[in-house]
Amino acid sequence: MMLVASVTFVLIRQAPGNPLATTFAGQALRANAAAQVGLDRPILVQYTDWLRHLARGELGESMVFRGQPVRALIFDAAAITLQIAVPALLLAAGLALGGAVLAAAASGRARRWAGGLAVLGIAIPVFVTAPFLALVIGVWLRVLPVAGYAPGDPTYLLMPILALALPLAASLYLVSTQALEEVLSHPSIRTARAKGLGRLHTVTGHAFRAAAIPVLSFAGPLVAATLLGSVVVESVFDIPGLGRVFLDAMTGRDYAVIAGTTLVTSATVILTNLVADLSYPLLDPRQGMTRETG
Amino acid sequence: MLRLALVFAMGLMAPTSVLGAERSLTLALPAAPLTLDPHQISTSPEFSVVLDLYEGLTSYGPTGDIAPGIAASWSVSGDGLTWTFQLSPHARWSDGTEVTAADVVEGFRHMLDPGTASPYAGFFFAINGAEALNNGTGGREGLGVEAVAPDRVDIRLNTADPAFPKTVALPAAVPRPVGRSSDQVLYNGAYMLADVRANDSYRLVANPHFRNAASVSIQEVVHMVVTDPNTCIRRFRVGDVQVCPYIPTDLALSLSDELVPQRHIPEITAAFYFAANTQRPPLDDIRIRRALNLALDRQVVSDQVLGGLMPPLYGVVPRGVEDYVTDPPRLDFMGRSPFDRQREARQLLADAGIDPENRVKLVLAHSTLGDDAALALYAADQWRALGVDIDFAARDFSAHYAMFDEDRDYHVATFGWISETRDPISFLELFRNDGAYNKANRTTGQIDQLMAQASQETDVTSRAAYLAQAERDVLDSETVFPLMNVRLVELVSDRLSGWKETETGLRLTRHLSLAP
Repeated sequence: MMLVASVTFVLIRQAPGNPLATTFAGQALRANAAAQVGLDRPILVQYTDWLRHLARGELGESMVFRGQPVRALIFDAAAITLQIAVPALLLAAGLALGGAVLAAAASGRARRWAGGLAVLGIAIPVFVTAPFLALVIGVWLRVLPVAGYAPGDPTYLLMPILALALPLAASLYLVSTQALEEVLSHPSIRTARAKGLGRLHTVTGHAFRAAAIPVLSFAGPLVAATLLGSVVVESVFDIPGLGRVFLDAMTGRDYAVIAGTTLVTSATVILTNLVADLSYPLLDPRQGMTRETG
Repeated sequence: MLRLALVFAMGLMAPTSVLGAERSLTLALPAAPLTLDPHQISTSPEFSVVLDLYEGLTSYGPTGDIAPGIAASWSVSGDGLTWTFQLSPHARWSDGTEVTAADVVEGFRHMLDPGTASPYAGFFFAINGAEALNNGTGGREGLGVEAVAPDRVDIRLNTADPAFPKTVALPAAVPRPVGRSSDQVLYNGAYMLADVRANDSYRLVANPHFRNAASVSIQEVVHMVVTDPNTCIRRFRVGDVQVCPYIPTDLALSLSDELVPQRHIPEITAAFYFAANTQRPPLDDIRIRRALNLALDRQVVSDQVLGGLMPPLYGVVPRGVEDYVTDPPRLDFMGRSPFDRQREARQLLADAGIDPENRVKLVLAHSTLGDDAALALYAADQWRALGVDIDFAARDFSAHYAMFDEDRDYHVATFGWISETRDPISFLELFRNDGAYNKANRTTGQIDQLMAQASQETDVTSRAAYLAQAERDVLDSETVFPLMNVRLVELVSDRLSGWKETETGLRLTRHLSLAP
């Protein structure tokens, strides 16, 4: 996590452009502004200063949004992103896992159709589905706000959640169905079927639990995809969340905010992977046992 | 029917508009303001919000003309070096206390203080002691802004500047309250900040203590951040916002029929150019620069590349400036036939050893924002036929403009410029050899001397004549290829009145009114 944030800290300073390039006209004014935000110091000094702040739980001040603490900027925005990301993940999981179970119990033709739909869901990028939803539901039908965010009003979140959830559900569906198919071809499942257990009962009662492990290992990439998708969704729907903060920071070369958001998002993905790893023994007790050799 | 069914199926009410009352207005901002400190702002969205919250000695009228602000009147001494501003007895802060001359002095001192790092400080270096204060070699007391009476301010300049009343209308020149409690933010504009949702919206309500509060029609204005122009158009269609301030050319040309009547295309004092890097071979050869310049057909750019939205530009100084000559210098080949221009371009390149058999490769740097890419493609197409191939160097906005100060890794680069003061100097300043910008990386010509002479001149006509000579000097050096007068494409609700064309693109909400 620190490695990711540190590499970002260095690399972004090597990229063309800087936080002051488009704001301050003239080299004298820019030099003065650089001194005010500490950009005139050697990169090593800036880095150690950043680490010192980090040890105190601070992320420094924004270089573009004058005087604003990065921590507050990120956490305020993250609180809004969570209101979209968590329901989107739950919705995606519900759609994908429910669909996978039904598909496993259904005929081959239905499975092919569902698989085709899922591939389509992945192939159509969120920057196409999100404006399409906004146009149809927001502008033509006018049943939901076309964009914007109002604290306490969930109607503004429904379309962003849906737009974010659809491609996630499609990816998760494909992973789930593949895992289920592998489990269903296992001899123990064939034995259960031979004993007269129904296909749906076999899937829900026996195969689903075994198939959950490969699905769980997909949690990390899924959370990463959610955070990535939120950049587009928040831009299309005018949501002042973490995705928009990151996009603004990248555009304005706000080094402090870029390093802060990278740290927070990489921490989120790593934490998700950790929780997933720790959950394996709950689903399959053999995963927690020490195997004796020899 | 489908809509009703969906409403009930989803258990939802139709969304309520952001508009709560008839006298409430929602304006979209194309980016989030980075600060609302008037002494630190620099971007258009910041100007939009801050001009509603504060006013300086002078202000902007409904058409963008200079009007009284907290100063009811002003005059200049015979030598043009001392400006006296008489403050209005009605000028008040939002707590009801008077705006005093001491507040004005403190405003200038704070803005020019190096610690403030005001991006607009350079606009005020004509004031005695301003540059020294800003670069840390002078003190606050040495600044030539003095409260000669509680309601009168004298400002002494080191060079005459007839356009000075325009300069003090900039938000960087607003007063700063002294001797008040520091925990209360005070405003002296038509509105006060009521509510901020960071990076999202800024709700302003009418300031009851504003010097002309009775004339303010709109009682609440919400400046809402809508970064995606497509989203802004959708929100405009459903009535969420009444103004979208920036619609890119391609979207402006494909608006639906219902929106076209609400499309405004005001001309602002702004220009778009290609700059040639005169220090990088082979563009150190004026023949090659002139050939590239000749090959660009401004009328084709305007009509075909930009759909007729942006008028062609044949000089350095665009339309809309004030206090300039009536017949400004123009490219000497303006009006010549395309065939004639192409013939001269081919001959010049042949003399320099370049033709379709002996080709040369140049780097054309452009921003990924706006119309830059389309213009770069057009130019590359024209130049390719002459034996000049192009490597495109596309960078995002920040990286592109930083390039002019960093590695200057380009032969030709796109750039645009806008002036809030409508002064021709704003544009000519870009090409001074000894200036802060020097976009064309020039080292030759008479421009530095001519600009220095203009800055010493108190007579407006003589000053304009020097500036026109400076423009001629830049054009003759073939270091800049003017392309277009920039216009803003906006969507403005037909319920909104008072939205006049302003040359600076700056508008104050207090001049607007909204029909129910």
